[in-house]
Amino acid sequence: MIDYAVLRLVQLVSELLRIENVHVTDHNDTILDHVSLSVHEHEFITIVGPNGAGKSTLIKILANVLTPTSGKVWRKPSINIGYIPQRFHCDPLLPIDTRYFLSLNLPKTQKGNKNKSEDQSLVQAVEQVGLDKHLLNKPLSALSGGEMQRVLLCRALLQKPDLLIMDEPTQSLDVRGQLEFYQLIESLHLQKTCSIVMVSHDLHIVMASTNKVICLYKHICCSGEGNLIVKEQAFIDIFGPELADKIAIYPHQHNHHHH
Amino acid sequence: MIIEPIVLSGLTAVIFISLMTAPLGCFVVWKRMAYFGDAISHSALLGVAIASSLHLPAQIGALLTSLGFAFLLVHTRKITFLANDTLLGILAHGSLSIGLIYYSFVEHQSHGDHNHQNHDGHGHELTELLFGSLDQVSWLEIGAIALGALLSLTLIICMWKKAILASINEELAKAEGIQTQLIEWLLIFLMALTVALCVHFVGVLLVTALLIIPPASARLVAKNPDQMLGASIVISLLSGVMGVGLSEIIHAPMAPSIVFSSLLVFFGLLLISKLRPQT
Repeated sequence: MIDYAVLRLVQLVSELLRIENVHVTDHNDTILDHVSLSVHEHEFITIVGPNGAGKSTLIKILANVLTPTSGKVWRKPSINIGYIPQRFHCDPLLPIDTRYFLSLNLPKTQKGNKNKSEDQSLVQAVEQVGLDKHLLNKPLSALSGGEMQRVLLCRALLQKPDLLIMDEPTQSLDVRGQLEFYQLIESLHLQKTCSIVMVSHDLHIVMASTNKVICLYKHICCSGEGNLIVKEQAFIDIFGPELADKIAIYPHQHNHHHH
Repeated sequence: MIIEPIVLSGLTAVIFISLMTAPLGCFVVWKRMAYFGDAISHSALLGVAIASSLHLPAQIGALLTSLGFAFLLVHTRKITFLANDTLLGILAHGSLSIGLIYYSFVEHQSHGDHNHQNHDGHGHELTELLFGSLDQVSWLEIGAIALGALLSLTLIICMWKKAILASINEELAKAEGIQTQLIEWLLIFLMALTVALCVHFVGVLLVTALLIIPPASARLVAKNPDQMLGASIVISLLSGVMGVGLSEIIHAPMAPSIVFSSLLVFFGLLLISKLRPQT
Protein backbone atom coordinates (compact mmCIF):
# COMPACT_ATOMS: atom_id res chain seq x y z
CA MET A 1 0.00 0.00 0.00
CA ILE A 2 2.78 2.39 1.00
CA ASP A 3 4.78 1.38 -2.04
CA TYR A 4 1.83 2.21 -4.18
CA ALA A 5 1.39 5.59 -2.49
CA VAL A 6 5.07 6.43 -3.00
CA LEU A 7 4.88 5.35 -6.59
CA ARG A 8 1.81 7.51 -7.13
CA LEU A 9 3.54 10.46 -5.48
CA VAL A 10 6.62 10.10 -7.68
CA GLN A 11 4.34 9.92 -10.66
CA LEU A 12 2.54 13.11 -9.66
CA VAL A 13 5.78 14.99 -9.07
CA SER A 14 7.20 13.95 -12.41
CA GLU A 15 4.02 14.73 -14.29
CA LEU A 16 4.46 17.41 -16.95
CA LEU A 17 1.12 17.47 -18.64
CA ARG A 18 -2.22 15.79 -18.18
CA ILE A 19 -5.44 15.85 -20.15
CA GLU A 20 -8.66 14.39 -18.80
CA ASN A 21 -11.76 13.45 -20.76
CA VAL A 22 -10.80 15.69 -23.63
CA HIS A 23 -13.54 15.82 -26.23
CA VAL A 24 -13.38 17.66 -29.54
CA THR A 25 -16.22 18.06 -32.01
CA ASP A 26 -16.27 19.94 -35.27
CA HIS A 27 -19.66 20.61 -36.90
CA ASN A 28 -21.18 17.68 -34.97
CA ASP A 29 -18.36 15.35 -36.07
CA THR A 30 -16.50 13.76 -33.20
CA ILE A 31 -12.77 14.29 -33.68
CA LEU A 32 -11.62 13.13 -30.26
CA ASP A 33 -13.77 11.05 -27.94
CA HIS A 34 -12.99 11.51 -24.24
CA VAL A 35 -9.25 11.06 -24.36
CA SER A 36 -7.23 11.03 -21.15
CA LEU A 37 -3.48 11.01 -21.15
CA SER A 38 -0.57 12.14 -19.06
CA VAL A 39 3.05 12.78 -19.91
CA HIS A 40 5.82 12.37 -17.36
CA GLU A 41 9.45 13.43 -17.26
CA HIS A 42 11.81 11.51 -19.55
CA GLU A 43 8.94 9.78 -21.27
CA PHE A 44 8.92 9.09 -25.00
CA ILE A 45 5.42 8.63 -26.39
CA THR A 46 4.56 7.99 -30.02
CA ILE A 47 1.00 8.41 -31.24
CA VAL A 48 -0.01 6.22 -34.17
CA GLY A 49 -3.31 5.76 -35.94
CA PRO A 50 -4.93 5.84 -39.37
CA ASN A 51 -5.81 9.05 -41.22
CA GLY A 52 -8.60 11.01 -39.58
CA ALA A 53 -7.91 9.44 -36.20
CA GLY A 54 -7.47 12.83 -34.56
CA LYS A 55 -3.72 12.56 -34.03
CA SER A 56 -2.94 16.10 -35.10
CA THR A 57 -5.84 17.47 -33.05
CA LEU A 58 -4.59 15.65 -29.98
CA ILE A 59 -1.06 16.90 -30.47
CA LYS A 60 -2.27 20.48 -30.95
CA ILE A 61 -4.19 20.27 -27.69
CA LEU A 62 -1.08 19.03 -25.92
CA ALA A 63 0.95 21.87 -27.46
CA ASN A 64 -1.62 24.46 -26.41
CA VAL A 65 -2.37 25.39 -30.00
CA LEU A 66 -6.00 24.23 -29.76
CA THR A 67 -8.54 24.35 -26.95
CA PRO A 68 -10.71 21.24 -26.63
CA THR A 69 -14.51 21.46 -26.86
CA SER A 70 -14.69 20.00 -23.36
CA GLY A 71 -12.36 18.35 -20.88
CA LYS A 72 -9.50 19.36 -18.62
CA VAL A 73 -5.97 20.25 -19.68
CA TRP A 74 -3.32 20.65 -17.01
CA ARG A 75 0.24 21.77 -17.62
CA LYS A 76 3.02 21.96 -15.07
CA PRO A 77 3.39 25.65 -14.23
CA SER A 78 6.16 27.39 -16.21
CA ILE A 79 6.62 24.37 -18.45
CA ASN A 80 8.61 25.01 -21.63
CA ILE A 81 7.26 23.34 -24.73
CA GLY A 82 9.18 22.86 -27.95
CA TYR A 83 6.90 22.26 -30.91
CA ILE A 84 7.34 21.15 -34.49
CA PRO A 85 4.13 21.64 -36.50
CA GLN A 86 3.01 19.24 -39.19
CA ARG A 87 3.33 21.75 -41.98
CA PHE A 88 5.85 24.52 -41.98
CA HIS A 89 6.27 26.80 -44.92
CA CYS A 90 8.19 30.04 -44.86
CA ASP A 91 6.67 32.52 -47.25
CA PRO A 92 9.42 34.34 -49.18
CA LEU A 93 7.38 37.53 -48.70
CA LEU A 94 9.02 37.71 -45.31
CA PRO A 95 12.79 38.00 -45.70
CA ILE A 96 14.46 36.07 -42.90
CA ASP A 97 17.66 34.09 -42.48
CA THR A 98 18.05 31.03 -40.28
CA ARG A 99 19.95 32.90 -37.56
CA TYR A 100 17.19 35.48 -37.20
CA PHE A 101 14.52 32.76 -37.18
CA LEU A 102 16.29 30.82 -34.44
CA SER A 103 16.72 33.94 -32.31
CA LEU A 104 13.00 34.81 -32.35
CA ASN A 105 11.38 34.42 -28.94
CA LEU A 106 14.35 32.83 -27.16
CA PRO A 107 13.69 32.17 -23.46
CA LYS A 108 15.02 35.00 -21.29
CA THR A 109 17.76 33.01 -19.56
CA GLN A 110 19.19 32.19 -22.95
CA LYS A 111 19.75 35.79 -23.95
CA GLY A 112 23.36 36.45 -23.11
CA ASN A 113 24.68 39.84 -22.10
CA LYS A 114 26.74 40.01 -25.21
CA ASN A 115 25.56 39.25 -28.70
CA LYS A 116 28.59 37.10 -29.21
CA SER A 117 27.64 34.56 -26.57
CA GLU A 118 24.15 34.32 -28.02
CA ASP A 119 25.63 33.66 -31.41
CA GLN A 120 27.91 30.99 -29.97
CA SER A 121 24.98 29.22 -28.38
CA LEU A 122 23.17 29.34 -31.72
CA VAL A 123 26.15 27.79 -33.50
CA GLN A 124 26.31 25.12 -30.81
CA ALA A 125 22.59 24.38 -31.11
CA VAL A 126 22.78 24.14 -34.90
CA GLU A 127 25.72 21.74 -34.75
CA GLN A 128 23.93 19.65 -32.12
CA VAL A 129 21.25 18.74 -34.66
CA GLY A 130 23.87 17.91 -37.26
CA LEU A 131 23.72 21.06 -39.38
CA ASP A 132 26.55 23.17 -40.71
CA LYS A 133 26.88 26.58 -39.05
CA HIS A 134 27.07 28.29 -42.47
CA LEU A 135 23.39 27.46 -42.74
CA LEU A 136 22.71 30.25 -40.24
CA ASN A 137 23.21 32.81 -43.00
CA LYS A 138 20.94 31.05 -45.48
CA PRO A 139 17.44 32.47 -46.10
CA LEU A 140 14.84 30.30 -44.40
CA SER A 141 12.85 29.92 -47.62
CA ALA A 142 15.93 28.42 -49.35
CA LEU A 143 16.33 25.46 -46.97
CA SER A 144 15.68 21.92 -48.15
CA GLY A 145 13.01 19.79 -46.45
CA GLY A 146 15.57 17.92 -44.36
CA GLU A 147 17.42 21.09 -43.34
CA MET A 148 14.15 22.78 -42.42
CA GLN A 149 13.11 19.87 -40.18
CA ARG A 150 16.45 20.04 -38.34
CA VAL A 151 16.23 23.82 -38.03
CA LEU A 152 12.76 23.39 -36.49
CA LEU A 153 14.15 20.78 -34.08
CA CYS A 154 17.02 23.14 -33.26
CA ARG A 155 14.55 25.95 -32.60
CA ALA A 156 12.45 23.69 -30.38
CA LEU A 157 15.55 22.68 -28.39
CA LEU A 158 16.60 26.31 -27.97
CA GLN A 159 13.39 26.78 -25.98
CA LYS A 160 15.06 24.55 -23.34
CA PRO A 161 11.95 22.40 -23.50
CA ASP A 162 10.69 20.12 -20.75
CA LEU A 163 8.55 18.58 -23.43
CA LEU A 164 9.15 18.26 -27.15
CA ILE A 165 5.98 17.85 -29.24
CA MET A 166 6.24 16.88 -32.90
CA ASP A 167 3.61 16.22 -35.54
CA GLU A 168 4.97 13.83 -38.17
CA PRO A 169 8.44 15.34 -38.12
CA THR A 170 9.82 12.99 -40.78
CA GLN A 171 7.13 13.22 -43.42
CA SER A 172 9.15 15.37 -45.81
CA LEU A 173 12.35 13.35 -45.41
CA ASP A 174 13.72 10.51 -47.53
CA VAL A 175 14.36 7.10 -45.95
CA ARG A 176 17.89 7.93 -44.92
CA GLY A 177 16.84 11.31 -43.55
CA GLN A 178 14.06 9.62 -41.55
CA LEU A 179 16.50 7.18 -39.95
CA GLU A 180 18.94 9.94 -39.07
CA PHE A 181 16.14 12.04 -37.62
CA TYR A 182 14.92 9.16 -35.44
CA GLN A 183 18.47 8.51 -34.25
CA LEU A 184 18.75 12.16 -33.30
CA ILE A 185 15.46 12.04 -31.36
CA GLU A 186 16.42 8.75 -29.71
CA SER A 187 19.72 10.24 -28.55
CA LEU A 188 17.84 13.21 -27.07
CA HIS A 189 15.70 10.70 -25.21
CA LEU A 190 18.71 8.73 -23.98
CA GLN A 191 20.42 11.90 -22.76
CA LYS A 192 17.21 12.69 -20.88
CA THR A 193 17.10 16.13 -22.50
CA CYS A 194 13.33 16.28 -22.43
CA SER A 195 10.16 14.26 -22.70
CA ILE A 196 8.97 13.60 -26.22
CA VAL A 197 5.52 13.21 -27.70
CA MET A 198 5.23 12.71 -31.43
CA VAL A 199 2.89 11.56 -34.15
CA SER A 200 4.41 9.13 -36.59
CA HIS A 201 3.43 7.09 -39.60
CA ASP A 202 6.68 5.12 -39.67
CA LEU A 203 5.18 2.08 -37.98
CA HIS A 204 8.09 -0.22 -38.79
CA ILE A 205 10.42 2.00 -36.75
CA VAL A 206 8.00 2.94 -34.01
CA MET A 207 6.66 -0.52 -33.29
CA ALA A 208 10.14 -1.99 -33.05
CA SER A 209 11.10 0.25 -30.17
CA THR A 210 10.53 -0.23 -26.48
CA ASN A 211 9.11 3.27 -26.08
CA LYS A 212 5.48 3.86 -25.25
CA VAL A 213 3.10 3.82 -28.20
CA ILE A 214 -0.47 5.09 -28.13
CA CYS A 215 -2.79 3.80 -30.78
CA LEU A 216 -5.46 6.39 -31.45
CA TYR A 217 -8.68 6.20 -33.34
CA LYS A 218 -10.76 9.08 -31.93
CA HIS A 219 -10.22 7.40 -28.57
CA ILE A 220 -7.17 5.61 -27.21
CA CYS A 221 -7.53 2.03 -28.48
CA CYS A 222 -4.48 0.61 -26.81
CA SER A 223 -1.16 1.72 -25.45
CA GLY A 224 2.07 0.20 -24.27
CA GLU A 225 5.53 -0.73 -25.50
CA GLY A 226 5.65 -0.72 -29.29
CA ASN A 227 6.90 -4.29 -29.68
CA LEU A 228 4.17 -5.57 -27.38
CA ILE A 229 1.02 -3.79 -28.50
CA VAL A 230 1.61 -4.80 -32.10
CA LYS A 231 0.16 -8.15 -31.02
CA GLU A 232 -2.91 -6.69 -29.37
CA GLN A 233 -6.27 -7.25 -30.94
CA ALA A 234 -7.20 -3.54 -30.83
CA PHE A 235 -4.10 -2.70 -32.83
CA ILE A 236 -4.77 -5.42 -35.37
CA ASP A 237 -8.39 -4.30 -35.68
CA ILE A 238 -7.30 -0.82 -36.64
CA PHE A 239 -4.39 -1.47 -38.94
CA GLY A 240 -5.48 -4.87 -40.26
CA PRO A 241 -3.76 -8.23 -39.71
CA GLU A 242 -1.54 -8.00 -42.82
CA LEU A 243 0.03 -4.74 -41.77
CA ALA A 244 0.33 -5.79 -38.15
CA ASP A 245 2.04 -8.94 -39.35
CA LYS A 246 4.45 -7.03 -41.54
CA ILE A 247 5.39 -4.69 -38.74
CA ALA A 248 5.88 -7.42 -36.21
CA ILE A 249 9.54 -8.23 -36.16
CA TYR A 250 9.67 -11.22 -33.87
CA PRO A 251 9.50 -14.55 -35.68
CA HIS A 252 7.64 -16.30 -32.85
CA GLN A 253 4.85 -13.81 -33.36
CA HIS A 254 3.54 -15.69 -36.34
CA ASN A 255 2.67 -18.63 -34.13
CA HIS A 256 0.40 -16.51 -32.01
CA HIS A 257 -3.30 -16.63 -32.53
CA HIS A 258 -5.69 -13.99 -31.32
CA HIS A 259 -9.29 -14.60 -30.57
CA MET B 1 13.82 79.65 -51.86
CA ILE B 2 11.29 80.24 -49.12
CA ILE B 3 9.15 77.28 -48.17
CA GLU B 4 5.49 78.15 -48.12
CA PRO B 5 3.56 77.28 -44.93
CA ILE B 6 1.28 74.94 -46.88
CA VAL B 7 4.28 72.99 -48.13
CA LEU B 8 5.84 72.94 -44.66
CA SER B 9 2.73 71.57 -42.98
CA GLY B 10 2.23 69.08 -45.80
CA LEU B 11 5.83 67.94 -45.44
CA THR B 12 5.53 67.53 -41.66
CA ALA B 13 2.34 65.54 -42.07
CA VAL B 14 4.00 63.34 -44.66
CA ILE B 15 6.89 62.54 -42.34
CA PHE B 16 4.59 61.38 -39.53
CA ILE B 17 2.36 59.50 -41.95
CA SER B 18 5.45 57.66 -43.21
CA LEU B 19 6.46 56.72 -39.67
CA MET B 20 2.98 55.36 -39.13
CA THR B 21 2.40 53.51 -42.39
CA ALA B 22 5.84 52.01 -43.12
CA PRO B 23 6.24 49.70 -40.05
CA LEU B 24 2.61 48.58 -40.13
CA GLY B 25 2.91 48.11 -43.88
CA CYS B 26 5.55 45.41 -43.35
CA PHE B 27 2.94 43.29 -41.56
CA VAL B 28 0.35 44.12 -44.22
CA VAL B 29 2.74 42.69 -46.82
CA TRP B 30 3.78 39.67 -44.73
CA LYS B 31 0.28 38.70 -43.68
CA ARG B 32 -1.27 39.49 -47.07
CA MET B 33 -3.61 42.06 -45.56
CA ALA B 34 -3.59 44.49 -48.52
CA TYR B 35 -7.18 43.72 -49.42
CA PHE B 36 -8.10 44.08 -45.78
CA GLY B 37 -6.53 47.55 -45.71
CA ASP B 38 -8.40 48.52 -48.84
CA ALA B 39 -11.67 47.34 -47.34
CA ILE B 40 -11.10 49.21 -44.09
CA SER B 41 -10.26 52.44 -45.89
CA HIS B 42 -13.31 52.16 -48.13
CA SER B 43 -15.47 51.78 -45.06
CA ALA B 44 -13.87 54.92 -43.60
CA LEU B 45 -15.65 57.03 -46.22
CA LEU B 46 -18.96 56.42 -44.49
CA GLY B 47 -17.43 57.51 -41.18
CA VAL B 48 -16.04 60.70 -42.66
CA ALA B 49 -19.40 61.53 -44.24
CA ILE B 50 -21.31 60.90 -40.99
CA ALA B 51 -18.80 62.91 -38.97
CA SER B 52 -19.01 65.79 -41.40
CA SER B 53 -22.80 65.88 -41.16
CA LEU B 54 -22.55 65.92 -37.34
CA HIS B 55 -19.79 68.55 -37.39
CA LEU B 56 -17.32 66.19 -35.73
CA PRO B 57 -13.67 65.71 -36.74
CA ALA B 58 -13.44 63.37 -39.73
CA GLN B 59 -10.83 61.23 -37.94
CA ILE B 60 -13.23 60.20 -35.17
CA GLY B 61 -15.91 59.13 -37.63
CA ALA B 62 -13.37 57.23 -39.72
CA LEU B 63 -11.90 55.48 -36.67
CA LEU B 64 -15.31 54.33 -35.43
CA THR B 65 -16.49 52.98 -38.78
CA SER B 66 -13.19 51.29 -39.61
CA LEU B 67 -13.02 49.64 -36.18
CA GLY B 68 -16.63 48.52 -36.49
CA PHE B 69 -15.98 47.28 -39.98
CA ALA B 70 -12.87 45.32 -38.94
CA PHE B 71 -14.86 43.71 -36.15
CA LEU B 72 -17.71 42.82 -38.49
CA LEU B 73 -15.26 41.35 -40.98
CA VAL B 74 -13.44 39.14 -38.50
CA HIS B 75 -16.75 37.74 -37.29
CA THR B 76 -18.32 37.25 -40.73
CA ARG B 77 -15.20 35.34 -41.72
CA LYS B 78 -16.01 32.75 -39.06
CA ILE B 79 -19.55 32.04 -40.23
CA THR B 80 -19.13 31.81 -43.99
CA PHE B 81 -17.27 29.49 -46.32
CA LEU B 82 -16.57 32.29 -48.80
CA ALA B 83 -12.95 33.07 -49.55
CA ASN B 84 -11.42 35.98 -47.72
CA ASP B 85 -10.93 38.19 -50.76
CA THR B 86 -14.50 37.61 -51.95
CA LEU B 87 -15.85 38.57 -48.56
CA LEU B 88 -13.60 41.64 -48.40
CA GLY B 89 -14.75 42.66 -51.87
CA ILE B 90 -18.41 42.39 -50.90
CA LEU B 91 -18.05 44.34 -47.67
CA ALA B 92 -15.59 46.94 -49.01
CA HIS B 93 -17.60 47.94 -52.03
CA GLY B 94 -20.81 47.65 -50.07
CA SER B 95 -19.59 50.08 -47.44
CA LEU B 96 -18.08 52.36 -50.10
CA SER B 97 -21.44 52.62 -51.82
CA ILE B 98 -23.27 53.24 -48.53
CA GLY B 99 -20.73 55.98 -47.84
CA LEU B 100 -21.25 57.52 -51.26
CA ILE B 101 -25.05 57.44 -50.95
CA TYR B 102 -24.93 58.97 -47.49
CA TYR B 103 -22.46 61.56 -48.72
CA SER B 104 -24.61 62.65 -51.63
CA PHE B 105 -27.60 62.84 -49.31
CA VAL B 106 -25.72 65.08 -46.86
CA GLU B 107 -24.37 67.22 -49.68
CA HIS B 108 -27.84 67.85 -51.10
CA GLN B 109 -29.08 68.89 -47.69
CA SER B 110 -26.30 71.34 -46.98
CA HIS B 111 -26.46 72.81 -50.48
CA GLY B 112 -30.17 73.28 -50.01
CA ASP B 113 -29.67 74.85 -46.58
CA HIS B 114 -27.04 77.54 -46.60
CA ASN B 115 -24.34 76.48 -49.00
CA HIS B 116 -21.84 77.01 -46.20
CA GLN B 117 -20.09 73.71 -46.20
CA ASN B 118 -16.55 74.87 -46.87
CA HIS B 119 -16.59 77.76 -44.44
CA ASP B 120 -16.76 75.85 -41.20
CA GLY B 121 -14.15 73.35 -42.33
CA HIS B 122 -16.38 70.32 -41.95
CA GLY B 123 -17.57 70.02 -45.51
CA HIS B 124 -15.64 67.71 -47.83
CA GLU B 125 -15.54 67.70 -51.56
CA LEU B 126 -15.91 64.17 -52.86
CA THR B 127 -12.60 64.25 -54.74
CA GLU B 128 -10.88 65.28 -51.50
CA LEU B 129 -12.46 62.34 -49.73
CA LEU B 130 -11.33 59.93 -52.39
CA PHE B 131 -7.89 61.32 -53.07
CA GLY B 132 -7.06 63.38 -50.02
CA SER B 133 -6.24 67.00 -49.29
CA LEU B 134 -2.73 67.10 -47.92
CA ASP B 135 -2.47 70.77 -48.77
CA GLN B 136 -5.18 71.65 -46.22
CA VAL B 137 -3.93 70.07 -43.00
CA SER B 138 -4.12 71.96 -39.73
CA TRP B 139 -1.35 71.73 -37.11
CA LEU B 140 -3.84 70.14 -34.72
CA GLU B 141 -4.39 67.32 -37.18
CA ILE B 142 -0.64 66.93 -37.64
CA GLY B 143 -0.35 66.62 -33.86
CA ALA B 144 -2.91 63.83 -33.92
CA ILE B 145 -0.94 62.00 -36.60
CA ALA B 146 2.29 62.46 -34.63
CA LEU B 147 0.65 60.88 -31.56
CA GLY B 148 -0.72 58.08 -33.70
CA ALA B 149 2.72 57.47 -35.19
CA LEU B 150 4.26 57.35 -31.72
CA LEU B 151 1.66 54.87 -30.48
CA SER B 152 1.99 52.73 -33.59
CA LEU B 153 5.81 52.65 -33.46
CA THR B 154 5.80 51.82 -29.74
CA LEU B 155 3.35 48.94 -30.13
CA ILE B 156 5.12 47.50 -33.14
CA ILE B 157 8.56 47.67 -31.51
CA CYS B 158 7.17 46.01 -28.35
CA MET B 159 5.68 43.07 -30.21
CA TRP B 160 8.19 42.99 -33.08
CA LYS B 161 9.82 39.55 -32.75
CA LYS B 162 6.73 37.84 -31.37
CA ALA B 163 4.60 39.25 -34.17
CA ILE B 164 7.15 38.13 -36.75
CA LEU B 165 7.03 34.57 -35.41
CA ALA B 166 3.22 34.70 -35.44
CA SER B 167 3.33 35.88 -39.07
CA ILE B 168 5.65 33.02 -40.05
CA ASN B 169 3.71 30.27 -38.28
CA GLU B 170 0.84 30.89 -35.92
CA GLU B 171 0.85 27.37 -34.45
CA LEU B 172 4.50 27.59 -33.52
CA ALA B 173 3.98 30.97 -31.90
CA LYS B 174 0.98 29.68 -29.91
CA ALA B 175 2.88 26.62 -28.69
CA GLU B 176 5.65 28.89 -27.45
CA GLY B 177 3.14 30.86 -25.41
CA ILE B 178 2.72 33.92 -27.61
CA GLN B 179 -0.70 35.59 -27.50
CA THR B 180 -1.32 35.43 -31.23
CA GLN B 181 -4.93 36.57 -30.93
CA LEU B 182 -3.86 39.73 -29.10
CA ILE B 183 -1.25 40.49 -31.76
CA GLU B 184 -3.87 39.99 -34.47
CA TRP B 185 -6.24 42.44 -32.80
CA LEU B 186 -3.50 45.00 -32.18
CA LEU B 187 -2.54 44.93 -35.85
CA ILE B 188 -6.18 45.35 -36.87
CA PHE B 189 -6.56 48.22 -34.41
CA LEU B 190 -3.42 49.92 -35.75
CA MET B 191 -4.72 49.46 -39.27
CA ALA B 192 -8.01 51.16 -38.38
CA LEU B 193 -6.17 53.93 -36.53
CA THR B 194 -3.78 54.52 -39.43
CA VAL B 195 -6.61 54.65 -41.95
CA ALA B 196 -8.61 57.00 -39.71
CA LEU B 197 -5.74 59.44 -39.20
CA CYS B 198 -4.46 59.38 -42.76
CA VAL B 199 -7.66 59.13 -44.77
CA HIS B 200 -8.30 62.86 -44.61
CA PHE B 201 -4.90 63.65 -46.10
CA VAL B 202 -4.33 60.92 -48.62
CA GLY B 203 -7.90 59.89 -49.37
CA VAL B 204 -9.88 56.67 -49.21
CA LEU B 205 -8.44 55.27 -52.42
CA LEU B 206 -4.76 55.90 -51.75
CA VAL B 207 -4.21 54.93 -48.09
CA THR B 208 -3.38 51.31 -48.93
CA ALA B 209 -0.79 52.43 -51.46
CA LEU B 210 1.19 54.07 -48.64
CA LEU B 211 0.90 50.89 -46.59
CA ILE B 212 2.05 48.57 -49.34
CA ILE B 213 4.38 50.23 -51.84
CA PRO B 214 7.26 51.22 -49.50
CA PRO B 215 7.45 47.83 -47.69
CA ALA B 216 7.11 46.00 -50.99
CA SER B 217 10.02 48.06 -52.34
CA ALA B 218 11.97 47.37 -49.15
CA ARG B 219 11.39 43.63 -49.58
CA LEU B 220 13.39 43.79 -52.80
CA VAL B 221 16.56 44.78 -50.95
CA ALA B 222 16.10 43.41 -47.40
CA LYS B 223 17.56 40.15 -46.11
CA ASN B 224 15.87 40.09 -42.70
CA PRO B 225 12.85 41.73 -41.02
CA ASP B 226 14.89 44.49 -39.33
CA GLN B 227 16.35 45.57 -42.66
CA MET B 228 12.90 45.52 -44.23
CA LEU B 229 11.53 47.75 -41.45
CA GLY B 230 14.39 50.24 -41.78
CA ALA B 231 14.34 50.27 -45.56
CA SER B 232 10.59 50.74 -45.75
CA ILE B 233 10.73 53.74 -43.39
CA VAL B 234 13.53 55.30 -45.44
CA ILE B 235 11.76 54.62 -48.74
CA SER B 236 8.49 55.95 -47.35
CA LEU B 237 10.12 59.19 -46.14
CA LEU B 238 12.05 59.58 -49.37
CA SER B 239 9.04 59.15 -51.62
CA GLY B 240 7.01 61.41 -49.31
CA VAL B 241 9.48 64.25 -49.68
CA MET B 242 9.86 63.56 -53.40
CA GLY B 243 6.09 63.62 -53.78
CA VAL B 244 5.66 66.95 -51.99
CA GLY B 245 8.41 68.45 -54.16
CA LEU B 246 6.89 67.00 -57.30
CA SER B 247 3.43 68.35 -56.49
CA GLU B 248 4.91 71.84 -56.02
CA ILE B 249 6.79 71.70 -59.31
CA ILE B 250 4.05 70.36 -61.53
CA HIS B 251 1.15 71.79 -59.46
CA ALA B 252 -0.47 68.42 -58.90
CA PRO B 253 -2.32 67.23 -55.76
CA MET B 254 0.09 66.05 -53.08
CA ALA B 255 -1.22 62.57 -52.24
CA PRO B 256 -1.18 61.17 -55.79
CA SER B 257 2.26 62.73 -56.29
CA ILE B 258 3.55 60.85 -53.24
CA VAL B 259 2.09 57.56 -54.42
CA PHE B 260 3.56 58.19 -57.87
CA SER B 261 7.00 58.87 -56.34
CA SER B 262 6.91 55.67 -54.33
CA LEU B 263 5.94 53.82 -57.49
CA LEU B 264 9.06 55.24 -59.17
CA VAL B 265 11.18 54.08 -56.22
CA PHE B 266 9.59 50.62 -56.42
CA PHE B 267 10.38 50.19 -60.10
CA GLY B 268 13.85 51.64 -59.62
CA LEU B 269 14.61 49.06 -56.90
CA LEU B 270 12.99 46.28 -58.92
CA LEU B 271 15.28 47.10 -61.83
CA ILE B 272 18.36 47.22 -59.59
CA SER B 273 17.52 43.96 -57.86
CA LYS B 274 17.00 42.19 -61.18
CA LEU B 275 20.22 43.54 -62.69
CA ARG B 276 22.31 42.75 -59.62
CA PRO B 277 23.71 39.20 -59.62
CA GLN B 278 21.73 36.96 -57.24
CA THR B 279 23.50 36.14 -54.04
